[in-house]
Amino acid sequence: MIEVQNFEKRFGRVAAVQNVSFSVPPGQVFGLLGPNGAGKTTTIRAMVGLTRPTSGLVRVAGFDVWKEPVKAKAAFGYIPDRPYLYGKLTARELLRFIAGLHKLKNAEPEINRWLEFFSLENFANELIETFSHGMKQKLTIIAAMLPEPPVLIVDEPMVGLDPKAAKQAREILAGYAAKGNTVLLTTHSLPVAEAVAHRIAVLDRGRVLAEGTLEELQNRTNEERSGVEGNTLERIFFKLVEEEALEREREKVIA
Amino acid sequence: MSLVSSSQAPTVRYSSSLLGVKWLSLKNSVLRGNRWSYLAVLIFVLLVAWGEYAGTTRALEYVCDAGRGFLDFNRKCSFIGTSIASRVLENGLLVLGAGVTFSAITTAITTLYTSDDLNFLLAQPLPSARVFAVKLFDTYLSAAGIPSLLLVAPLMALGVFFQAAWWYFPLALLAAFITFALPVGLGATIAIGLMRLSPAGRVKEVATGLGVVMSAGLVYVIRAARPEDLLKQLNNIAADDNAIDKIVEQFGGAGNPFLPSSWASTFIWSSARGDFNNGIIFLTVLAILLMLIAHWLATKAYLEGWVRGLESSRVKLDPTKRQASVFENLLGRFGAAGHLITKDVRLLFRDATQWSQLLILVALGGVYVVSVRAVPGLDAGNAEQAKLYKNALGFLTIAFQGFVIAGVGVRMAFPSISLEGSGYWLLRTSPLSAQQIVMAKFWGALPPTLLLALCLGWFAARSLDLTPIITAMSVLVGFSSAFVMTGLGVGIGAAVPRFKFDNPAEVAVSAGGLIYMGSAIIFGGILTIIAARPAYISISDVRYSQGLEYFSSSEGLLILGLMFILSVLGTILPMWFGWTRLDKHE
Repeated sequence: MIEVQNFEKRFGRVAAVQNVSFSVPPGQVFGLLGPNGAGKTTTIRAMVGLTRPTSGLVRVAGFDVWKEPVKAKAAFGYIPDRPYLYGKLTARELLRFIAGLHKLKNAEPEINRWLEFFSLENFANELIETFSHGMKQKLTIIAAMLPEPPVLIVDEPMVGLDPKAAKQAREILAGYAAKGNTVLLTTHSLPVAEAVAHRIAVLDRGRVLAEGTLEELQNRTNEERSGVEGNTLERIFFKLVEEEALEREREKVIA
Repeated sequence: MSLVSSSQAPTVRYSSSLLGVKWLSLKNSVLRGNRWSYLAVLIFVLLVAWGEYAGTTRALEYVCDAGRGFLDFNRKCSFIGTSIASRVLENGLLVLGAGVTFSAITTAITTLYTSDDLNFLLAQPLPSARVFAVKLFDTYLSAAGIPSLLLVAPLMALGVFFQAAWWYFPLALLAAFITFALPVGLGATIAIGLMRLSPAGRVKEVATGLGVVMSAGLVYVIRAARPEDLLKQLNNIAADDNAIDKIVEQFGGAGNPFLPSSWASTFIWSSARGDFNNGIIFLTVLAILLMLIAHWLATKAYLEGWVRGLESSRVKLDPTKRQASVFENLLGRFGAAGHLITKDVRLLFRDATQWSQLLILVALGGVYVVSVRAVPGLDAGNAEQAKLYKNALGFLTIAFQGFVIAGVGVRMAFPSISLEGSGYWLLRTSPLSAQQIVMAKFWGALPPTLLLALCLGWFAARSLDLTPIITAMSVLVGFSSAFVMTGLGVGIGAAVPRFKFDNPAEVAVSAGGLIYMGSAIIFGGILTIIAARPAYISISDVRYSQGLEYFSSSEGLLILGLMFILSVLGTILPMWFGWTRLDKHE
């Protein structure tokens, strides 16, 4: 369960995110979409304890991330967009380290299973600094999922993944939510969001333009399903963003 | 209205100065940073400078008054005071210079060959020698910036104390910067050779490893040769049987005439008292020579060495399902902190730029002990005079011991949180509190620092055959310094972490590093002041010259209690401050 209520983040006089509210119940994948600089990553960083909200509430699995950080962090796994990992550890050592931080017992079989799942078993004893970007991204996904947290928070999961791994990642996210867990993801890939997300919020300039299921968003923007996979959300997305831009222009003219 | 065609438009020339770009980025970060923080840092730096100035003046007054009853032939300062002060300056420059030499090669390899901006710079139409020159400047700032700045206030105090001529002040400043430019030039020269010759695939690791061993070897060869022994022999031949003359010969002569630190010290000391000494000329010529050699080598081999540094090692796949090591399982019993320490130890020993810090630590301790033992004149004069001299020197080494440990702390404890770098998100989003992270870093950095501090305290005391009380104070100060300076380093490092850097050496020379060094020196000064009373008692009161009974007296117990309270508070408060700030860090 994720709850975001009236979340606002300001950097000095600039409001990066304003009055954002949404909640994600267990069993759902929630997609956060928006153009560059919309505030997606800022919102995610507030959820995982990397950015303190200026105002509002961010709760993960019932815990306020800034008031009960350790409990909240034990309840979520985080996959960032840039997989910075300790280059001088091997993949296996990193995963054992994660298991240690999360106090997991007998994690070796799970570690081996995940490494084999992502075809990393032959590289498990190599230093991470020798890995490609995609391999590091796979390892980051394993690190987030190894403790089997009830909430998964994912920032741009497909960056750097090869087509096979991208398909695996999509299946993992959908399957993970199907087990009763909560998944929140941001992505620039509209087909990915359309394929896996139960509900979607479109952010622009730090505000939620629209939120709902794909059908609800369609109704709001009066878009018809085009029949081409991935095209629907793309059209809704652009329409929402363009409407917002026109609104700003109108406000400027009036002012 | 007339339009200016493109052919008539005035030509706009853009600056391609690399130093200009550095200056611009520094200016941008200063202008966009928190001005109150900068003001606080400025006030702190001024306070440290004032503390150094006042401390040096007070120390000069103290040692110059010592022994006025005999050997007093200098109106401003007694002979024994002059000898002690000049020896302390020389040893200080030697140890600081050795520290810079040790770190210069590893710093040079990092700044010259592995900085993030090199991909960009060397892909531009610029001669590699120009890029090298800017990187050499970076290396100087990283390896020698803080020691040079810390030297400024004491040198100014020395000049004012002896009412030096106007020319002393600019030349003393030059000496401060040139003294440490030598090891940097040497480090860069060696780094170029190592990066060019190390086997492909492991260039950085092999070059760094060899670099550290070479620099340690270099300093040890110079120290082990003990050039001062030659001087002693010369003095023995020249001296007659008159004990006073012998002391004058040995105390008053140059310390270690074959070391650049001695040239700098002799120049500073003589010039402060109005006699120009040509040591500064030797220093400047040698520094320029080394820089010219480095620059010539750079035009020949810099670009090639950088390209070789980019080649990664060949991967030999090992598909075995390796189990956790005994060490990992053992530390894992301590929970998250144990896992964090395991991870840090692994990173330390696998990263050449990090394990070399440990070697520096050991070598620095060795140089310190050897230097204390090699002080000329220790055996001169009658037993009473020698004892007084040794114990006075021993007391001053207590003060200097804190400085050495602070120097180690700024490389080990202080950057420990910042070295998490871009990977800090992994800890931050794990179920760990900021307190757990800070405490784990403390327990990880404490053992090597404590070992070094105790060795310094014990061996320095044994080498000088100090009284039991000063020996005990030396060890206790080492113990206290290790805890406090590790806590201070980890705490301040956590309060002002710097996760973005081109190379790890930059972390130590940040504003936080300066605050750490200043705070550590202040604490070292407080410990020295506390140790002064027992040291004085042990020399002046025959009842306490042979045993440790003093510490069972009410005054002795008070001093021990004061040291204990200061140590506990000095260790815990900075860490509390650190984890509170780290918790709020975004």
